[in-house]
Order: sequence, then structure tokens, then C-alpha cells
Amino acid sequence: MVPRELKYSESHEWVKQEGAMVIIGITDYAQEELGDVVFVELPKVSRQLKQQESFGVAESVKAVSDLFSPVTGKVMAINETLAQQPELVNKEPYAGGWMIKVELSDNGEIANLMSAEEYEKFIQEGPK
Amino acid sequence: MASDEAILRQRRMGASPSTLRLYSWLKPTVSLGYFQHIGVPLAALCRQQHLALVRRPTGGGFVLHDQEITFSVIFSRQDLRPQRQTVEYYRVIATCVQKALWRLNIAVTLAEKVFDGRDNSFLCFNKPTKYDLLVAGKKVCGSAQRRYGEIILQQGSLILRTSGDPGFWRQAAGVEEVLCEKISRPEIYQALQTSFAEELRIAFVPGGLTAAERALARRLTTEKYTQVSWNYQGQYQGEHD
Repeated sequence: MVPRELKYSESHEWVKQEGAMVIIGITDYAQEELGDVVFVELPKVSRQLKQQESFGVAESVKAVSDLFSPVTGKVMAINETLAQQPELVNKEPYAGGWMIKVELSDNGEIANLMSAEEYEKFIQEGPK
Repeated sequence: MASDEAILRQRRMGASPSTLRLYSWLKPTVSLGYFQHIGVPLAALCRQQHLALVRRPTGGGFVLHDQEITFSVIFSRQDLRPQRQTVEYYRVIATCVQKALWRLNIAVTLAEKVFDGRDNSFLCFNKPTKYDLLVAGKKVCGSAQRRYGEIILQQGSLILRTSGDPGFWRQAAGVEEVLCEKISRPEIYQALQTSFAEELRIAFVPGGLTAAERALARRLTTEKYTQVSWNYQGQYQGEHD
């Protein structure tokens, strides 16, 4: 299931735009690949992120996976619930498993992300 | 640790090839998984037994590195098609080591216990999990992973002999202890190189670190892997740069 209203990155993060702010999490495909998420490390609020920069990590099955920001901007909020309930990343990747809220520096970056249809095709075919 | 991370970062930039490193340790060292907390008992044990301590960039539990062959393999998921779930890379890497040991006529099997990510053992060699390697039912090899986008770093330990506190090795053994014979180091190194190359279908070229890898490794050694803030508290300002 790929929600239609979101945008997607090649590193399997989703982006929901709300004005000048975006909410970022990882997709259902990504959480399924990772397996049971047991720890999530998120950045400090007010950190400046560049597009494609690692903003945190998730641990699952003895694997630590970097999380990459699809946009450039300033971290305005993090999902603190994930410290106690990392399993939300698996159970509700598009809702309770959200990770960070970022104030966009460049609105144009959103346009370069994939639509739901493009992302569905991308995960079927894999990266080129 | 610094060299492994340097190769990982350079590989993601496309500046380094997929790489297999085989190495050993200058002194007995405990490594911690990325998210592990070092408790007072372990810190005291390390002091008492003069064990060095370092935090890994990978996940998993505590490992006492002493009489073992340590391997790290850095490769792109594009090297292996089709793409697999995280846990499947454990099977691929374990199979590389298994086939290397088979070349030396050592009977080794893959543990089949279903992996439960929430059941993460505090001590890596106290609990075999799926795709660990077993000889005579004892865990002799385990590994842990870092995924950096499409690039994977898998760090593993093939235990030759256990040493130090038996608490580290409740369900583990060294290959040489189980077989009651010494294994030729050059032979096992050669067997590992051959099996990794064949299984991963990567033509590894013998050599050392590139100049860029060496420079980055030096920086990471100074700024991260020798710092109390990283090794004891898991804090490093440049972790997500």
C-alpha cells in the first residue's frame, strides 16, 4: 500500500507536505525490508539537514540502517514516542511511525521526489 | 572500526570498490553494538581484565575479540540481485564463511532459530540466532550489519579459541577447540577470500586502504573511535554527516 497523497525518495522515505513544513518517515516497503525495528535514533530539534544527509538510524535484526533526509531544512520536531515504541515504525509507518518534521529550505526539492505511482514502479523494478 | 567505516563511506560515494577485510586484534578488545549501553559490571570487567573497548558502527551485542579471525565486507546491494531483506544478507554472508570452512573439511551448519529482532542478546556469543554458524552445536561465528543506503557493511567474528571470562561464551566455542586441532591461518584466510569472492561474485583485488580511505580512517580514529563519548555513551557529533 503506497498512500497517494505522499511523495517518496529513492532511499524509501516518505514526505508529507504541510505548507512550509514536511513530515518524514520510512515507507512500508522499507520497514518490511528492515524487519522488527528495536531502536530509533533521531536528530536534535533545530538541526540543519541537507538533502540526502543521514538524519538518524534505526536498528533491526542486528542491523543499523541510516535514515536519509529527502529534503534540505531545519528539524522542527521529532517523534519522541519512537524512543519507547520503535515498533510503530513497523506497525504504522505512515502514521504513528513518523520520524521528523522539517521546515523546508527549498520548496523545489519536493517536486523532484517521486509520486506514489512512480514509487510503486521504482520498488517493483529496483534502483537502476 | 575506523577503517571499516571509512571504506563504507567511500564506497557509498563511489570512490572505493566493494571490499573484504580480514584482520585480527593487537590486544583483547570488547566491542559494543551501536545501540548498546555499557553497564557498570562490563566496564569493571574490562578494567579488571585489561580489555580494550570500542563501539562498533554495526548493531548486535557485545563481542570479546581475541583469538579469532575478524572479517568485514563492504558491498553494494546492487552487487547481489535480487535485492533481499536485511536478514537475508546474514544468510549470504554466513554461507561465504560456511563454504570457506567446508574447504578445510570443517563441518559447520547455519543456525535455524527464527530471528526475533526484539530478542537481541546482550552478549553476541551467548545466543545463536538465525544464520549464525555452528560447529557441534556451538556458535563459532556471528556477524552484525550497518546499512548505509545501498551499501552494506557486515562485520563478523570467526572464533578460533575462546579466552577470558567464560560468561562471554555460554553457547559458543572456538573452531580449534571443537576440532582439537590448530587451523592454518594462511589456509583459512585463502579459503575465506575464495568463498567470499565466489558467493558475492566480486573480484576482490588484494591491496591496502586507498589514500582517501586512510585519511578518513585516521580522522575517524581520532575524532570517534578513541573517544570516551563514542565508546561509552554512543555520542559522536559527526555520526550522521
